[in-house]
Amino acid sequence: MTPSRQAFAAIVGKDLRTELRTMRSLPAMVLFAVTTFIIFRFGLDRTALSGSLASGVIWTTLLFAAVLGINRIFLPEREEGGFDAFRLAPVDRPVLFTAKAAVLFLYLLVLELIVIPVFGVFFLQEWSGLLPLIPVLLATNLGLAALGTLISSMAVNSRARDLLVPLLLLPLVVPLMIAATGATSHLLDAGGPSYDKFGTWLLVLGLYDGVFCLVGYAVFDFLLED
Amino acid sequence: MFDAVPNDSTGYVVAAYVVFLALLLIYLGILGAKFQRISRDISELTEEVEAGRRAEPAGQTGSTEAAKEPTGV
Amino acid sequence: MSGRGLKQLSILTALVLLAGFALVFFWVPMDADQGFKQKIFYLHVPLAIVALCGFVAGGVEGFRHLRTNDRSHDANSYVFIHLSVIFGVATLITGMLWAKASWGHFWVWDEPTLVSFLIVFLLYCTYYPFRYAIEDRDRQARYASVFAITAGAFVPLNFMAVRMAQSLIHPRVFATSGGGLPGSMLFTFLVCLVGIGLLWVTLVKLELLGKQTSGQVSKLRRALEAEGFGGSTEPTGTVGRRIAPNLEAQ
Repeated sequence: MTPSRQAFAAIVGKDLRTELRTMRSLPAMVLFAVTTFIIFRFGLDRTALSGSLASGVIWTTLLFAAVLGINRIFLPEREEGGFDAFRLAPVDRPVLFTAKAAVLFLYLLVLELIVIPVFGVFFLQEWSGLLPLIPVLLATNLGLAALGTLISSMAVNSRARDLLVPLLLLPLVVPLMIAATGATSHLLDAGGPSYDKFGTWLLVLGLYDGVFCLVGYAVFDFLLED
Repeated sequence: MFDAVPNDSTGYVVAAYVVFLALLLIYLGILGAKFQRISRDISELTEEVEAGRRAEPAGQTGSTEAAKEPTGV
Repeated sequence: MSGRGLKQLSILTALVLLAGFALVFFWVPMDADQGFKQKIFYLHVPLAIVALCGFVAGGVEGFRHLRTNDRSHDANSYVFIHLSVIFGVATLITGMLWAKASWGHFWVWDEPTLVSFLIVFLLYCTYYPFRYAIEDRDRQARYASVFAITAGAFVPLNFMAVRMAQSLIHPRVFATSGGGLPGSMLFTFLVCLVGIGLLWVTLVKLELLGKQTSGQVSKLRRALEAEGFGGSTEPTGTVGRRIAPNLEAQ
């Protein structure tokens, strides 16, 4: 195994193990999402959702839950001097980016595995749209993970870091959300999923992911400099 | 042909161009104020230099006379 | 970056802009479709185009800053973005006036270009609090460059996504569906575009000159204090601005 792959595995493993032990991000994200669903039920005064309304509720909730996780993704590094340790190690700097993005991707995946079925139970009358939802979820997770890692690494070393992440992240993920909700709304139509423009939306998601994974990977070096 | 079209679009078009000019003038005004501050600073600095030169005795012995602390920048 | 040529540039800018506006109001024929209010577009669209190009140019300067570590690129990036945000404000206001004239509402979600522009504008507004939040000068400059690059990459993606989400039923002044733009309108538009572009360049040079000068003033003041020349006067605020990068010879 090359040093980069070793470092990647080490970082991902460490973060996952810590999360399993301390449970500091995921439970909050899940609880936040479920509570938000309840608020939507009363705020929208509806017990069943479909189409674009369902899509909007899911993605708003997932996005804000994701922000909770993104805020904390570099916290261990900041608190325990992990950044310095990483700078001293003989590894490529961007490995930290890919490792953290992978961790964030996994968090989002776990979040969705729990939260989407809950949403289905609360609001959906037609579950057949959920299976084709999976590629949409995966593609959006990738974009959120890449961009979230990038923004979080910039925010973690500044004042008001909790404020900075939503401030910078939200405008940047608007196209991602447009594509995700666009694809999802047709899948969750009351009469069953329709694939209107599905391919195009996935293409937009893919393009977005590609661009920002590349950008994040390329500039991460400069972010880690002292 | 400048035909003033008898509908209320005229007001909005004029407003648009006026807004543009207003923003431009405000911006230039802010820059103008900034340049004024700069030139005031320069004249202050020039005064200080001249005051320092006048205070120096005819035989230059070095620059140790000003015992004041430099103010924090 | 110097003040040389600034005078000629300003005169040229003023001439081209005046010529453009004269063309708009006295020469170009009325649009058959929309009437008089179409004339807002000769102002609104060039402002939008120049602002967006400015944002992308800010990203390019950010990239150059990271590559060469030359602080002047960071100053360029900051000023480019700063002016483009101001041009963006003008774009949005003129756009809202056009929307009000066309549909009676100041804001309509149906016009994809305007919505995309709003999102981009909001993103670049976060540039200021972002810079302010980072204390260390070097790091601030570096992070700002990263932001400029990321945001620059974001602009085309954003327009694409918003465009796709809309159904194109609204009048698009410069769309190709109506068979394109008649020659006189195109010419007038181009003159206005050049004028607004020149205006942007002039203001950028002006602002950079201001930065350069205040940088020199603070350098001078520090040199004088080092020599012991008093310091009895307070700096009047041109020195040590936290957010805006200074242009000092290092």
